[in-house]
Amino acid sequence: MGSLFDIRLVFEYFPLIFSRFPITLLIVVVAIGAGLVLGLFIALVRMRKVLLLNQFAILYVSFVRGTPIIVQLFIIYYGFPLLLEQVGIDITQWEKIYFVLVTYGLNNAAFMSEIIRSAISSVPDGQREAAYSVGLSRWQALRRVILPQAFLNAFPVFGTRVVNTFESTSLAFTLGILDMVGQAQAIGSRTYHELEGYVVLAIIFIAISMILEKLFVHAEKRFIQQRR
Amino acid sequence: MIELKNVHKAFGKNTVLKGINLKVNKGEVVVILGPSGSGKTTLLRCINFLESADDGELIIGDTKVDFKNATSKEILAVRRRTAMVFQNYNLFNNMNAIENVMEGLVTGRKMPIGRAREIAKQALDKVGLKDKYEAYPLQLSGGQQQRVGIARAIALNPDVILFDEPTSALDPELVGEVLSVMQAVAKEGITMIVVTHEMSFAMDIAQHIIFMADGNIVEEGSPKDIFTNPKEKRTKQFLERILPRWNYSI
Amino acid sequence: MKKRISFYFLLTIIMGVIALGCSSEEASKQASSSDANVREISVGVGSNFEPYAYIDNDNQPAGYDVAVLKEINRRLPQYQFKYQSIELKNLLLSLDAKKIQIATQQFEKNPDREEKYLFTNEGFANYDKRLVIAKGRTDIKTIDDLVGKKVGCAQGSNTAAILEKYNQTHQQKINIVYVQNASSAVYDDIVNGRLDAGVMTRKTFKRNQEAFGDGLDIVNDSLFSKSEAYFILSKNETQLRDDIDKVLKEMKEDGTLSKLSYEYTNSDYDVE
Ligand SMILES: Nc1ncnc2c1ncn2[C@@H]1O[C@H](COP(=O)(O)OP(=O)(O)OP(=O)(O)O)[C@@H](O)[C@H]1O
Ligand SMILES: [Mg+2]
Repeated sequence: MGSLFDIRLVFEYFPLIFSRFPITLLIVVVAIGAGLVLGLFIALVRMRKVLLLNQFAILYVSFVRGTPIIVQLFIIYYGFPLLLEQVGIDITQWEKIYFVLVTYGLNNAAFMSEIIRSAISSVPDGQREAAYSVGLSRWQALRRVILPQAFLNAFPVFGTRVVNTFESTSLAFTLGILDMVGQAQAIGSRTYHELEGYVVLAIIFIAISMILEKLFVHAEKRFIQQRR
Repeated sequence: MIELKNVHKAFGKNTVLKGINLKVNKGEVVVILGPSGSGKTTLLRCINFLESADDGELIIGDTKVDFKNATSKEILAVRRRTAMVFQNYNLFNNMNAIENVMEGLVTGRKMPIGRAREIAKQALDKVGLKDKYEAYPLQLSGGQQQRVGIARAIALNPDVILFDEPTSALDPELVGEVLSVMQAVAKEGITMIVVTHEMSFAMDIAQHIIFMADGNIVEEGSPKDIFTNPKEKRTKQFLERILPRWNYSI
Repeated sequence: MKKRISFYFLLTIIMGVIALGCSSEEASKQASSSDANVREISVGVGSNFEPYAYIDNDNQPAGYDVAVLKEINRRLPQYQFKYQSIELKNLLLSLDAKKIQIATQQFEKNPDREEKYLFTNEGFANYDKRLVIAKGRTDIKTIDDLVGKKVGCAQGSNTAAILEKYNQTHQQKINIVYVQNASSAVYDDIVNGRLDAGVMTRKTFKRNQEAFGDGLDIVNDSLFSKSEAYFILSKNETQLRDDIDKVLKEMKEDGTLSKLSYEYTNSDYDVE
């Protein structure tokens, strides 16, 4: 042997690396799902200025937005279990993937809450008042009138967030999650050929990011056409 | 029957309602007149709790609510006995015309969809929008939107419909279609409280006129009393300013 | 339509979580199905140092270090070792955080580490290291020749510790460059002069030659450091340490360790 870059290895590695895509997908789906639910909760707490919870939410959101996700991963995976141990709960031996899902979910919740908050406040007050005037409760008004319109407003930003989340999953491997990046590294260390794996990663990440963006643009067009 | 007792409302230091007493009989059409900033909109919004009054009492049918400590359950109950038509329509932008009309019935009152759709169709037919069931608000003219707004209100079969200047956001040529729909609604014996600046219309449909200024009811009476024989100085001043506009149409 | 999409979305999440839950449950069941007196030990194995500690084709921790530990475990039935791959730079952190009780990726002793952790007394591989330079270079022979030169090493490695200590105690500094473990990058950097030198065992040097070609030379005149590789344990695991030491000694005497070493590195465990 004896060459640094071997194009044939790119083809050889591709299926091996892509086979870990479901892990990446799982992280993205859970992060976005949990982010939406928890983010909505945080957004409501902040918009209704719920005592104490509101202050906590402000702190939480600025912490998450102000620290790199890798730091958050380490805090949740290494630090948090030690803290829980103090009160007699032992979660140190839980599967890594749970910590990763929790971290990405919590991280996304903070970003989503900001997206949701600004999307909700972009819906005119008159919409909420009209909903109340026909006898909808607060929650019904939110669910039936405010959120659907907020969702449309937020759609482009939401799409960007999904793409960002997808790209940021590449950090999960630092905890030893064998996602696509982890797999590329593992193959690289095993075979002493790392470069080829990174080329494969670049191709996959660019392709999927582009597909996601296209999908969102397409979906946005369809949603909005329905209303015109 | 709907009755307001001693309603007070202030925004910060600005006292907007200074003890309003008002009684509206079933099937009656009441028009509220008054200069800008006199508190007409605020009064309407207090009735269905879009604004929370500081003090006073609301009696609507057999329910009696104290403004000062109304529970959210009471508020919801009042809102389900009232309906409102807004100055700028406020149709739900994410729903088409028929969905707009059905929403309060299906989601608010848990009516089966089939029945709600029938009622919504009747209401839209009544306001002359038989061919616009599926249209979204953005596809409708202002006059058509406001007629959907009225259909949305009457479909609920409320104890009272509150109208807040329903025609003042409309282009002049579209005002007529909305007023005639309102006239038809009034003829059906639905209780209405209407804030408007359309004097001839007020003259035509009102059984009772209320003149407000500075957060008080200054004078009230039949249209004839108020328009031809006002007693209070404030009323006279107000009518004199408006008079040239509506005089010739009588 | 919208409802259906969100329904499938939810379904995917739920199934994903359930699948995860099941797989980990199974794993823990398997482990606990054996005797209750058996103590479970979590072992962190470095992920990027073939042939010692890496991840194999089936995504499992593998290498000489793992093979030795598996043999040790076979001889110590009172323990059940569970292996997971962890990057070198997080291995010791994982010990701190009690995620694991044993860490291994050809760890050498140094005073800082000995203060915080427990080392086995028995080593299990020679770990003498030498300087590695671009072919034909003659200006670098000893560690003192590295002053002002760019030297690559992995963060958290003993090489890094030695270089850092050198800089702390000497006026003239070595320019330490931390590399992301990637051996191909180190090879390339040295050949192209972006790095002046690297530090490797003779065995790793040979492995690099096989993989990338013979663009490098190893300094034969002097050793960079003389040491052995040991297993690292949490400070409080003295019993486990003593048990491992006893078995390691047996394995050296009965030839098992030599056999494993030949299997993975084509040479005996105690030669350079
Ligand atoms: N949300 C609010 N916050 C603060 N002040 C308000 C608010 N709504 C109304 N006001 C004030 O209350 C007073 C009465 O307003 P209101 O809208 O009830 O008058 P109006 O009689 O409906 O006038 P117009 O004929 O111009 O619609 C005004 O001084 C207005 O500035
Ligand atoms: Mg007004």
